[in-house]
Amino acid sequence: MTAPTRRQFLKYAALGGGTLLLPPIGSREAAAVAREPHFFLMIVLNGGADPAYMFDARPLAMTRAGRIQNYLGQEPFPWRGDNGIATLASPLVKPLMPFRDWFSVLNGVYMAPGFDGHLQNMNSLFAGNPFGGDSFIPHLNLAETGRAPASLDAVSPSAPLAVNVDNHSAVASLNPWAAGALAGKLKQLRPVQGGDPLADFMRARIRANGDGPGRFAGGAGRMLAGLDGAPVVHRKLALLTPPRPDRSPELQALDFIAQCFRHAIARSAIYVLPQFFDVHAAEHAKTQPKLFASAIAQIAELIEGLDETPFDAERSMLDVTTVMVASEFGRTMRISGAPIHNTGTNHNALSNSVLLGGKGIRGGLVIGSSDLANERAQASGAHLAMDPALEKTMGTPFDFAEMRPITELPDEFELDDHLTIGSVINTVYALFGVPKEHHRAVGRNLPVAPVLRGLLS
Amino acid sequence: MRRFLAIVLVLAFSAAGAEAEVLTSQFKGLAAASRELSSRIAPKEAPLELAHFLPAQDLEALLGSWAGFGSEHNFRNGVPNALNMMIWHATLSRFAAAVGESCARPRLAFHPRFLATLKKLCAWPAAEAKSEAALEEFWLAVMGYNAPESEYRAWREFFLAAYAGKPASETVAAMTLAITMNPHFLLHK
Repeated sequence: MTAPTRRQFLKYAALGGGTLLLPPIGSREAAAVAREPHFFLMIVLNGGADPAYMFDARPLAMTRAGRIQNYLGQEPFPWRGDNGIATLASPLVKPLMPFRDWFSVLNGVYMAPGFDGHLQNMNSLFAGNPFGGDSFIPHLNLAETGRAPASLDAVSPSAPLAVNVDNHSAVASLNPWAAGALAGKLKQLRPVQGGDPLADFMRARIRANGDGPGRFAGGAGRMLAGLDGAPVVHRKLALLTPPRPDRSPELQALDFIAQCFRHAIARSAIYVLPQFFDVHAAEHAKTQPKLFASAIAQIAELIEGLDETPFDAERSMLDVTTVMVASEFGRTMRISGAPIHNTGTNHNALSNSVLLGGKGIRGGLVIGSSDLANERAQASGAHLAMDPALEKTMGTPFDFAEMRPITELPDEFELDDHLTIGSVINTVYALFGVPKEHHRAVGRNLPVAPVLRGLLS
Repeated sequence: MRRFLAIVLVLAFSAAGAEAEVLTSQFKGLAAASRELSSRIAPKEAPLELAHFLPAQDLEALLGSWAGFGSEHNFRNGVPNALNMMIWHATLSRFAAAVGESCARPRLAFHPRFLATLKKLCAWPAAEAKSEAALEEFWLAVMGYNAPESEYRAWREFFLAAYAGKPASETVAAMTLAITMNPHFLLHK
């Protein structure tokens, strides 16, 4: 491993110093945290959604110059963050305008730059590693966060995600109707209880097989722990009511999620929107205005639904939930060789957009940016080295201390100068009090990705 | 230069530190358990579907199932937890009850050999139902050769003691549930 440069040393020392300035959590504060409900909703745009159709748009002049497709054909408008950073937003995001003070936009976010596949980048989003590993979702439900863990790490009332993670055993893909029907049946069934001779016998056999080393014993050990938790899950799930059939699928899902949060069935929920944004072919790329219009309407409906759904007598679901909207990567501006009015787009892990809002998040900010903002913009040497055809936008370097994009054009690419998905997830970790040992590194032999402190309210 | 950058990026992101969940055996899944059980107790022309005993629809995937994306195929939801243990228990309780009720009138399609085995056990609490031969035959018919003999011994002793005077349908249901909830039946080895 090479020694850090003086520049790197100063940068990380400054970031580390910032961490030391954070107030420690005392026992009284920890108890207050424990009482304070906090949940997480992850909305996934599946297939790699183009940020240019949301909050990282480009002027039409750039389309006329043959640089970026724009099948909406409308000029984007300036979206200025309260922190003075501006981006261009597609007119398609207008349904989200009523919530602009509630969420912040993160642009130019690096996913897994050396990898091009959906799975590797979805793995990177959830596990911080293109090959998979431990997903961040269960970490939000650890007892070490100061909250009693919910019975499940998450529920997912939508299509299952294609992601290789090792710890989603308590992330249940459960649709609201199946859960409602299950609740009805569970009301009639007796939970498996200790004290019943048969249940005690079955438990004893599972325990006997769980003793000792080896995978089989490990599995039996988990069966035993599951059996111990089953009566509580049984009683909680029996409380669920089926969704109202007159509501939209999003509101039905939200109603189910709210019930799961209220009854401490799950800490998080993952909602995969039904649209599939992988538009390589021109005829598919041309459907993006429709795809995004429907997806954005659904996101707006979910946020509005959170606001209108009570968590308890005092708080709405919006008050107690942090929401993240993300895709596995962004997309190229075009495909080389195709005319700009008839081109598809490929994958781009060098610039993604994430929306983060809700409990604990400062809304109304724009964090980060991507390069090649207009047809006159120059590409950096770093960009030309990685993308000589200039098909992609790339996240610009980022000043973590000032929380601002850096305008200089670097000759060489250094990942730790940029905003990465690791920083986004570590910010969520900081918000939930996830222990430092779970925080993601920027990359191998690189330091922990900085938490975006300015994004925390 | 590009190749060098690509290699650097691959290395940067292939962090070996992924802290994987401890490797454990996972559930075989409802489809595999159904297939095994069906081959032992049901006629070929009318295979047993444990999915019919799920407490609600669309729960099968929660008990362990294969899912694919492109060329990648993964087994999902196979690690035991409170939710899937509850669903397994509810599902297998309903299946076991159907086997127990079959002492009075067959509720499921069984192949003749299993039906003969079941008939012997349905004489419970009579002595012939408690014979080593009848018990072992039933155990092997449901469990197959998946479990060590010690599991059979523990099961036999429990039922001879705790269910000595109980009615046949209740006993057969409990015996079936105790076998199918055993880790040797449910887990991959």
